[in-house]
Amino acid sequence: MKPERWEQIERLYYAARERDPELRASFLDQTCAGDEMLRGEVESLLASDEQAGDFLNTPAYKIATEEIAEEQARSLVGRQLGHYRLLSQLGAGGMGEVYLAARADDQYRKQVAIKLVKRGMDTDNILRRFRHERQILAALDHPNIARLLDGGVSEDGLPYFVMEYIAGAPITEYCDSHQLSTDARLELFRQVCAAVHYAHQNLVVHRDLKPGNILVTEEGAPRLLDFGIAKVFNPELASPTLDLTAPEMRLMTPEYASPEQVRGEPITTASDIYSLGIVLYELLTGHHPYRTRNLSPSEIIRIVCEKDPEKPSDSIADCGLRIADSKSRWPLISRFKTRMRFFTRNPQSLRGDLDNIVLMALRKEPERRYGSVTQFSEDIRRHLEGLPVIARKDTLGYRSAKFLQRHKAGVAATALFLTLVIGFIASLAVKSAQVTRERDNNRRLLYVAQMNLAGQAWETNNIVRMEELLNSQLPEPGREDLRGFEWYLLWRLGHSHLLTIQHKSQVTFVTFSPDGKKLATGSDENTVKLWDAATGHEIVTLKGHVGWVLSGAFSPDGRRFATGSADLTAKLWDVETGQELCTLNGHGDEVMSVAFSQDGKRLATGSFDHTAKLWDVATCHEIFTIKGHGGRIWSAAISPDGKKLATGSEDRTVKLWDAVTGQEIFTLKGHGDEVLSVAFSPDGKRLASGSGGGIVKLWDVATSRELVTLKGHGDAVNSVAFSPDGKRLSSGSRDNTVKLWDAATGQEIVTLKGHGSQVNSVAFSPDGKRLASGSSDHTTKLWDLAKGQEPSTFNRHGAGLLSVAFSPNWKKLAAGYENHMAKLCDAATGEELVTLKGHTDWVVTVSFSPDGQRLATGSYDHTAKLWDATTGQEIVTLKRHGDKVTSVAFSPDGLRLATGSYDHTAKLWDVATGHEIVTLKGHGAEIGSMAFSPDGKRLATGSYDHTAKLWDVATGQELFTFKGHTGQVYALAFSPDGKRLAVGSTDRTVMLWDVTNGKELAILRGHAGYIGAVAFSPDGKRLATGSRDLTAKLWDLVTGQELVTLRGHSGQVMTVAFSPDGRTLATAGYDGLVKLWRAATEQEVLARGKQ
Amino acid sequence: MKPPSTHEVTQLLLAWSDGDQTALEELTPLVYAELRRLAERHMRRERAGHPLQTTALVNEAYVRLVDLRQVRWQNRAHFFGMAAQLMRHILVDFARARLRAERGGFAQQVSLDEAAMVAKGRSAEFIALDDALQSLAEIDQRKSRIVELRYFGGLTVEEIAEVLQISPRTVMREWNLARAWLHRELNRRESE
Repeated sequence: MKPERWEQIERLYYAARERDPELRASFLDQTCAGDEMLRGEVESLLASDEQAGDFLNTPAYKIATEEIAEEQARSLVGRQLGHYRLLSQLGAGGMGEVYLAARADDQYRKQVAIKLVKRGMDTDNILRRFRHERQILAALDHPNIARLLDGGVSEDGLPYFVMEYIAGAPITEYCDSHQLSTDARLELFRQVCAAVHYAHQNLVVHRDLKPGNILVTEEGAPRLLDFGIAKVFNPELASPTLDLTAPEMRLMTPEYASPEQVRGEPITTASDIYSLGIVLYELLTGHHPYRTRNLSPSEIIRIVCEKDPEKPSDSIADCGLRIADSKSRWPLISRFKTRMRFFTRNPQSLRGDLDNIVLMALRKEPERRYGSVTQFSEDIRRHLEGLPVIARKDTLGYRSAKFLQRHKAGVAATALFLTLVIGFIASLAVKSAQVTRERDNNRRLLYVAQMNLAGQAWETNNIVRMEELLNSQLPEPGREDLRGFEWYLLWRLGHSHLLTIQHKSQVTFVTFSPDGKKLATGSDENTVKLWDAATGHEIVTLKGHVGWVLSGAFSPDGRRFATGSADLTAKLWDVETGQELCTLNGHGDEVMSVAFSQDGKRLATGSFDHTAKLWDVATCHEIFTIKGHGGRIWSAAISPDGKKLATGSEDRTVKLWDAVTGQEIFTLKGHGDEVLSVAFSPDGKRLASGSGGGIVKLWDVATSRELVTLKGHGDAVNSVAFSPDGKRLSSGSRDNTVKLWDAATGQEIVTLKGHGSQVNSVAFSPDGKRLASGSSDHTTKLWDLAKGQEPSTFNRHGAGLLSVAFSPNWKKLAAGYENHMAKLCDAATGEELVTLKGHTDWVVTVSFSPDGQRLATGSYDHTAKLWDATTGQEIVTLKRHGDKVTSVAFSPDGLRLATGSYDHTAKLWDVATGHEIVTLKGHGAEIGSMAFSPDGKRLATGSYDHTAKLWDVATGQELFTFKGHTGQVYALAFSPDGKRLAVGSTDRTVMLWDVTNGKELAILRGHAGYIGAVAFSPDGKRLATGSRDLTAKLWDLVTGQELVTLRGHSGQVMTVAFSPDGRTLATAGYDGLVKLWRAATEQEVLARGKQ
Repeated sequence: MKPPSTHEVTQLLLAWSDGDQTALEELTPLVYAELRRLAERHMRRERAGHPLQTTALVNEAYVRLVDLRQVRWQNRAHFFGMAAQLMRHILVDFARARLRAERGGFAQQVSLDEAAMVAKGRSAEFIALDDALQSLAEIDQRKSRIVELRYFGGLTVEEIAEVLQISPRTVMREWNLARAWLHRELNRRESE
């Protein structure tokens, strides 16, 4: 364009634009004078101006930096999920992201792929379904199926799935790049079929088969990804109107979805056959049978449901045309070309059988496709071997329209129901058996669901979520209060701290004054606040910084306060008046830490500018700068004698410096991540350092030797602090928890949960009794260290603990051991009172008499013994069993003792005389458990013959046999009203029976190992179970649903017991631990509410 | 990698303003790394819900990178002009790199939903705009610079007037025309 022309356009544009829009046309008529080109230019520019809207109004850098920030916020590379460290991002999609990851603890070198679900997805439901499915999926063990290894929830509450990492290419790309022949493609495809068939046999339908899910490794082995995952995301909802735009629905890949799938109808193995048919179509022809790109959801549904696919052999002919079309998608062209070469070599190979085979798999009606994947695969084999195939041309009589009609009439193939989730059916069965009033039941089911989520939130340190869930179940006026033991238990777990100080912003650091009376906290509002450490009342605010205050320290005399800030300065303050004394200028980047020397004369600062500086407190002048780190300095500490300075840096090292000369003494190497925090022990002999990888290390300062590594945090350790006596170490982490460690052994003492976001700082009170923690959740919390851990745990019993019982008043605890002894202990402290010696083999069962005066023990030495529960004196030995004694139980009146044995019998004994009264015979195998009914008239026995029996105590007559378990019965208990019996078995279920009529009330499923203990709560509303799966669970007996899972044992949970007031649940495990799970009282809850 | 010193960056900027194009090639990754670092730092703090202030971010980037005391800029305007040009170069470069990364296959285990790639749209827009801006410069150099200063450099109308030594009213008028022209140009290219 000539400059003159452009000037002309420009002039006219400005002039026209100054006129009213309706006058512009006549203005241009005059000025352009027939020059239509000119007029067109100006008019189109004016029109463009009108349409431009916000075009270019947001500066580019703003968009770009937001994008960078978003990208970085999204990217989790380098972070840890569960046991895995994310190494790199493999890809991202509508549902979430896929990362390459490896075990963080290097336990296995193997790399895995982790799928992290995107925020905004229906995470709660995904998790719930995942828990339902994971066992089934984890059990899929086939060389051509990528294994699902694990799953969990990230710190941010997002579900993730860990799977085997497969390096390979989608099957279509693999076949093209290796230029496989048709026969080779078919052989490969048959291997895929074999894997899908294996999954179908295990009742798992893939639901989302497509080339991207079928990878082929360099060795040529196909591996199938994501088996059953689609289900976790996309529940079966037999909704007639399917919203393809709903977030869950978008996960489906419509190009490979069957007609029943896009319609939202039940999905069966036939749906996978259809998807495989599409894949085969693509493998043979190089393209998809339908063109669905850029079509609306309704159009896709129509095409998938109604349009008959072209014969594969015919469709190849069009290929040339398609290439001509695809100019705009240039990257695809070369792929098509490769395929074209291949397909033109094999023009005839598809005619006939292969056409029929593919089209049979692609039939609209699920029941008219191949009956199984094996049949499909076998037909391909027959084709390869030149044998006749099953597949025939589709006849005109079967049109899609007819299928639609029939479906509307309600014909449904029974096969459709095969794949409905077992759990779903079971829950429905329990529901329908017990629905009295549906609305109440729905409320109850919601309560159950919320408690499960609350338990999950607790485990993932998501305390904010847990509180929300608990609060959602506070009783409404006029409605039944559904809360039970689990609610009060979780509430107490979440409120184990003494005091919460609420801030308006994130707490960057927290520190006690030397006299312990004040607490200082820093904020991202550029201020420091001083608080009364006893009451949490604010005393004064230090204002002056113009950036976040990142660090703070009291001078040893408590009169001054030092701060380090993101404004690149440090400041000194007068504590009494809150006045700023001076500003320490010199750092070139944020001042991340400040520390006073013990004499208060010097201040050390560590900065992101890679240096630390020492300052003269009196003059506010810099003494010297310490250089040597190859990265930002996150933390600095001065040794108590003032002679050494320690710094922790981004360069993954800790350096020790001479605090007088500034010379480097040595470098402590060993951390695999940036060192975020350092602290000297009070005696100056040890140094603790916390890293970005969640590891804390203890070092010997004199020798630079690494003493011990403390593992346990799931994310970066932001802060470490020694207790004033040097015996304990505390750490605050990005995993939202504070941990307390034994500083000598490195053993974890307790994990303090309660913060809703990362813990930035921890500090001990000078008396060592309290701990303060500051968090990004806008709170500072004070913890009473004397109160200890929740649940409180005794570890005095050691290995070989076999059995535990509590005395009726819960003052004493009895324990039986592998070393042939039993012990009586204080139930509150676990302290040993007396040792009972006499048995000559394992003591596998213990039980107190109802008055608490006697203890009964049963042993593998074939005897039971009665003891004085106060003195520990043996009273009598009961020796008439012919094999190991497995269980003992006192009658409620205390007059009789029942014993069960491997000799298949139970015996009743007179407690006063030690004489046998009667032998109960009838079980076909060993007896493993026993219980008296509360009225003492009945005895229930559980046997390895898979049954439980009910006996009349007075006559010794067998009354009833409870049959139903498919495994040995290991535990049983009567409900407090005596009407129900709970029976736990090696089949991993508990069956609940109505004792009055022998009817089955419910089956409780959820444990992953056999059930070795059951106990009713005193109010009869809850059941506690202990299992080989290392957990205890609480169940709601109205709905039969699991409420909460209690973890912490590392051995089978062999005993569960409620205290008489129903406020404490005890669990004991083969790990030697006894844990007391205490529920809060209503008063405690109300008191907190007021505070 | 050690962050660049302000001295280093300033020297490169000066060299570039003296016409040394290799200095620009060295500058770009440095400045971009700094932008990333800042974005990361801000995001870390942002976790608890503090919104990111991008304006502050970019100003911070300039201030951190360039030691203004050292620079013998002809005037403040000259500096802003250079900065805008630099920013355009970096952002477009970044967008190209990103597109390349997305095209360069990510076959491994990505079966979730390969279709959803929002960021790609943004990157492509940047590049298309950069192209169109070059075409505009061939017709009308000054209007192209106005867009560069305003869109890529984030300058105000008054600052642009100062840089180009024209009146703010002219800036507004020409900005309007340039915007309409670019909008039309991009629409035409898209429909081709």
